[in-house]
Amino acid sequence: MSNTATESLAPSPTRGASATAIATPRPPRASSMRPVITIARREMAATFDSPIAYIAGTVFLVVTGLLFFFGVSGADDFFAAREATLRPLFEYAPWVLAVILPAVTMRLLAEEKKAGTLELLVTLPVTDLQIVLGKLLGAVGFLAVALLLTGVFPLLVAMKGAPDLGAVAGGYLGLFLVGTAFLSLGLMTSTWTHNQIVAFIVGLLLCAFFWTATDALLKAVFDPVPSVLQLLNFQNQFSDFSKGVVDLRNVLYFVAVTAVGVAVSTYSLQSRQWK
Amino acid sequence: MATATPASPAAAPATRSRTDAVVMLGATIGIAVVINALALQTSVRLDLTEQKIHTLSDASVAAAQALDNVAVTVYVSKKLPETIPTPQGKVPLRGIERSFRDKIDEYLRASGGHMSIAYADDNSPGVGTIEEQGEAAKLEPFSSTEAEVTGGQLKFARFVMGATFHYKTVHEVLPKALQPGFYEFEITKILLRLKEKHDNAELMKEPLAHGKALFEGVKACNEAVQKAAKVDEKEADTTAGLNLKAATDPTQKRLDALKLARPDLDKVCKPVGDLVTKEGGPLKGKNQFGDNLVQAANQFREAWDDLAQTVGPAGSAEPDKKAVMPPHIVVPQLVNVLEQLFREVDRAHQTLTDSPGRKQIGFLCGHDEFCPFGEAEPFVQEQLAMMMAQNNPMMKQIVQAATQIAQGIDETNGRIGDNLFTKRGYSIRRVDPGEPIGSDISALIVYAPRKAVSEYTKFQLDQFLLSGRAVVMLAQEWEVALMNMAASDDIGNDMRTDYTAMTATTSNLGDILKGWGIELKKEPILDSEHVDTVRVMQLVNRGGLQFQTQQDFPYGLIPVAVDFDRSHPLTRSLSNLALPYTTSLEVTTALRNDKRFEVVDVIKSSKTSVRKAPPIPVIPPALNELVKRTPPTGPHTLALYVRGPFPSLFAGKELPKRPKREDKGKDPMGMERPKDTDENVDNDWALAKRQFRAEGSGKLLVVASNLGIEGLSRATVLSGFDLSKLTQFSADTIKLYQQWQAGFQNWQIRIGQVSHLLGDNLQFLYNVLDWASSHEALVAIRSKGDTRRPLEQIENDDARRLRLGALLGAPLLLVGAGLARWRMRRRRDAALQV
Repeated sequence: MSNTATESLAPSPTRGASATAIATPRPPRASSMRPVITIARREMAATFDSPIAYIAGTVFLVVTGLLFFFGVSGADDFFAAREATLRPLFEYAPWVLAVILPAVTMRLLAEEKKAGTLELLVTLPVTDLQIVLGKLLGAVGFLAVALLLTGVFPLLVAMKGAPDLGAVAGGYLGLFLVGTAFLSLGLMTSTWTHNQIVAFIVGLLLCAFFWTATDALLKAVFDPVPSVLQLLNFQNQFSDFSKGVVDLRNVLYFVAVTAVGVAVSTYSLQSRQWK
Repeated sequence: MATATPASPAAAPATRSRTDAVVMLGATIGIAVVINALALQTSVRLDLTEQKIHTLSDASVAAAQALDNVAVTVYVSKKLPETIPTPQGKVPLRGIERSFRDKIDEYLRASGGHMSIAYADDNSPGVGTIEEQGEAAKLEPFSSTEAEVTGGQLKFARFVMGATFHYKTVHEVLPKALQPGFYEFEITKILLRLKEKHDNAELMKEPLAHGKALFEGVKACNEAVQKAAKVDEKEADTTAGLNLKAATDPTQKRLDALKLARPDLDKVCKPVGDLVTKEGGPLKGKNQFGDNLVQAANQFREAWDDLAQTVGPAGSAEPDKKAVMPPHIVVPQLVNVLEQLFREVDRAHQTLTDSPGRKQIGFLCGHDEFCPFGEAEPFVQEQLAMMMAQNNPMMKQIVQAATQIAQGIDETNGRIGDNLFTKRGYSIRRVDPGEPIGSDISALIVYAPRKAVSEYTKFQLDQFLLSGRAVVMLAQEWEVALMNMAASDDIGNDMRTDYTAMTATTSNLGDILKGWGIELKKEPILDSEHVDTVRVMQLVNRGGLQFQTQQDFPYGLIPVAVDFDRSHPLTRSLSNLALPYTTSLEVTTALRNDKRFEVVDVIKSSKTSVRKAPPIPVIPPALNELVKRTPPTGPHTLALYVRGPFPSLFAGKELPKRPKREDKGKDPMGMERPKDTDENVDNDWALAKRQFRAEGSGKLLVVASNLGIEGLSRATVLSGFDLSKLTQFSADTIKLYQQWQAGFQNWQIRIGQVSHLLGDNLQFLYNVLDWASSHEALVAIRSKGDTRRPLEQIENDDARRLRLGALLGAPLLLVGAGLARWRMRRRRDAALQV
């Protein structure tokens, strides 16, 4: 359970607060980043205490590895191509992340809602924004570990060739940003429902939409698609990173998507008080 | 109201809180959108790549700043496809438009206000679509795989993406911008070229004006003819009344329309003949481009004369009785011929306009080397062949077959020259043995001759180098035939497909280089670790059926060079280069120690390479076995650059005389050729003696491989063809014929065996051409586009192990960490329970 964060943050007078606490004014809230970090740390610990982290992590590494070595068709042998590049990794990993990360985020708030621990959490001296940010950062911790473990691929390539390390660094930065944006979208869907499966499916659809389907859907409406709208597509924004170029526009785009995801999640969390 | 009273105090803060939240959410989204919209106007980028391949180099910035008021017009189709088909497979175009615009913007900023950019659009009425505008501006349209049915016809959508660059009176076109890796190279090349062209256009003002006048005249005539010949078939049908022939036969309508328009056509087309004399006269003999234009215009004039004669005067209804075919059949064909000839004139005019300042690169031909030109002379004089074949129909067939092979060779060479060089902006020129080397040739390429060059050619090469220009020599000391075709011993059988041999060529490049202190070693270089593959086609028997499959074998005779001199622009950013069937080079100690010379070993083989004298087995497994057994002798120099005051190879010697040119009668265009005499030869000899340089500073690049590009020549393929010996038909004649066929196919087989290397090797060759024609800035920029970094050759077992390790290592680590964490928790929980 992820309510470990709740326990450590709760000041003794409010400990054991019930659902009735929703209507009562909240105690003064910590304004610094400390609660965010505490929630994030606890959230990450909870993630790695549950099997989901290992299942998701293993699936991510194995599927990404298979795609890296063989491509989608199974015929693109990495060693046969004889090129010291991480391009296949940066080409396929976002697809796998778009599937795996909603599975990680689905439980973040949906589970709390279902177990009723969210009611307890919101009575603590933390703002809704801090809760959302803490949860997101916890999930980002998982993303960081997963990406770190893919380090085996650049290591292997560096052993047998001389990859462009700048391009590798750019690619990883891009993966991190796109992954964080996926997590933010997943977290958003997790705040909308009690049901983790529903949160996962909606999160997956949303990630898939932004990663790949925007072009097709926009084309159905606009012909030709205005270039401003083409920018919505995550792939268009990601391609520069995989070439080793960090463009401020791309960075800002992913930061903006993440920020909007956080804002909607916070709004969604707050909306409980208005019912 | 009793229920409303207690709710009011709680509802008010809830509403306020809700409003606040909505405002906050709206503000966040608004700020995100505004920041992103503002960011779109900027371009702050960090290029993390090691060689800053996505950042403009100093040479590009300098080129952008060197020109004032360059107007760039960018043409980008509004709806680009996702992918486009190419011979190498589908190429994705995702994000390519932005890359192109970003690159153009980068130049705009770098120019410091010296450039202006306009984007073509189709918003204004009457300007046509962007594609139409692009095509009119000479951009190269491309198609996708998407097609739509329009008016009952399947049409592939056409797109454009490119730009035009105008500077004062000159302009250049980037016809197709689909390779982001080469944007910088292409644009900088255009900017450098604009400057070069403008600076030289003044000197060619007069020929250019004559050329323009001639072209305009031909254009006006062609436009008038095409307009007159264009008949609206439907309209004619309804107005033709009872004249059924006219109503149903568009060719007749075309003839009638041309007859009707004859007086107007005469007004614009008759002056073409005068223009050829008046404007073409001053152009003739000045340079080859002017000559080509005059020649093309003259052919157009002749075609017009034919058309005029066939159409007959206005109002005449009687067909020309002497004509073999009725005029209404011939006229449409002649109109098409006229259009095609106009295109030739247009092309020749464009080449002339483009010629100012363009540096010519000469390719030496005539020694079985790579010579990317078709032969101008017919393979067999038609009259002679007819005479020979008169009494022997079998002989006629053999001669016809040989002529067809010769034509195939010429067409292939012509296409190679066009596609590899001319279309890429290189101006290449054929240099035949014994012919003078023009002063406008800035670099001479001697590309892997397999036959010895004559003393006179040697003298020409020597003097060319000493004149301060660049000479590039690529050597081919061995010819490797692996699973090639050969004539069968039994004429009843099919050709053999397993001919395998390694034979030494008779090239004498080694002798020439020796005179300058460079030793071209004869022994091939092999390698066991740093090797590329050879692609072998095999016939496999499966279930009684024969299939042709291809298989790649690591091949010791294709060593991969990994050691490059990073100070030289040619190799500064090369990461690897596979050199098929290479030998090696050595420099004498005297030359190496001579301070006046700059000697650079630009490419070396690996330390594991071996210099091995034949016999060497050619079959891959046997060869690789041999290489593994032989102790390494590397590294060896595979390419060498020498610059300095070279001594002449003919200093203190009697200079060779130019060989007397054969009397070949008329040239292919039917013009009489001046006859060569002994007196001419003596005069040239005397001139050569007067102009002789005993020493001179030049730059020489020697590569000990042909880079996988083997020459295709009539002499090699059709060896043994001798009309005088073909008088007696025998079994040998059939065998000879099989050999010719095999010769042509073997060239294709050999190129196919190393075709996967050609992409990288051609990039290197282009670097060499740019370097040789003094465009060194471009060399470094082009290499930026080549981002390929090689992976070591890995044996299958090793690859399997590495793959398994990488696939399972990380997940096992994760699961292991999870298990450890789980056990720790269990232990902690157990301790708490106690």
